[in-house]
Amino acid sequence: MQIILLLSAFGTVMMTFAFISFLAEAKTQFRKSCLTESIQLQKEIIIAEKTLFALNPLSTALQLQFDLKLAELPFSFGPAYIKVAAELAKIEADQMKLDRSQRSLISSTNFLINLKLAAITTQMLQNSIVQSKRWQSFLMTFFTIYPERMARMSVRAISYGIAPNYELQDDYKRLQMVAFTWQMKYQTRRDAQTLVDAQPSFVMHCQAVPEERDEKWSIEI
Amino acid sequence: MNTKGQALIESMIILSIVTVSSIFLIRAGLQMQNALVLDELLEDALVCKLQKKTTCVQALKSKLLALNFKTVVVQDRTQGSSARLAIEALSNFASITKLESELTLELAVD
Repeated sequence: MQIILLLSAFGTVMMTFAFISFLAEAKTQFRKSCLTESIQLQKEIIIAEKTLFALNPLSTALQLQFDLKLAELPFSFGPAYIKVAAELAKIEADQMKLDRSQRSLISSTNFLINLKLAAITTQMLQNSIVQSKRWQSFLMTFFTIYPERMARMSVRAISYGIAPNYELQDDYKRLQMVAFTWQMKYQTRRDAQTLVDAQPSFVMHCQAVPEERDEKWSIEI
Repeated sequence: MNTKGQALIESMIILSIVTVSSIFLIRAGLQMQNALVLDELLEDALVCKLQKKTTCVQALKSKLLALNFKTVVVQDRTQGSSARLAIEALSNFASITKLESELTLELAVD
């Protein structure tokens, strides 16, 4: 009888150790995959922003061309007027085309961010659930993983007219931050609750924040 | 041997088993605690190194010494975007914990 009690106590302590290892492993796994995925997503956003900013010289050139051509527009209607007006229309068409490219880049990047955030969340949740399966006979584990905010391409137009120049918003770090929260709660199963009735929870955060200094980009974690 | 004598021998056997088991469990628990704490601090230090901060190794050493490790040796083998640190810590119970970890993350965007 005493031996059985002793063995049970020994077994319980060993199980506790094993569970602590599982928690540490789950936390480490979340941290690693979260950092890797967040950094990758942040890089994709930065690349999209760089592409957008690379269009600024073209945008400026088109606007300048338009302004100069507008100054050449005669006051009276005639062949010269028609010629300049046609050139203005052509420049405007180019500007419209550029404007569509800029807007499409912004909206497709924001759409991609949403998709990726959902995919990363699902993937990390699946990993955590798979990892917790070996404990399902003793514990009910509940994982919650969610993006702390919906990251956005944080850019704003800084010139007037069609196809403007774009730059980073002042609080781009906050707006563009990719951050996740991981929370794990567990509860002992009904039969085990007579011995131990525990419902603790563990929380962890991870983030990737963009940093732009003198046109050099990096990511802070 | 009478019943009392047998009981005494049984108690002594159980007591020795309990003592040995307890020592084993306490040792295992302490080693596990050390390993978890070291692992956590090492991960923090690796992230710190990747951010090109200069005080990471010193901060790691200070934290470990504050955790009652007698001596702590940290070897920094970081190269570029790959942070690699090795710890050798001697605890008060004269057990040496060796741990090495690496984290590779490219934080610069070209």
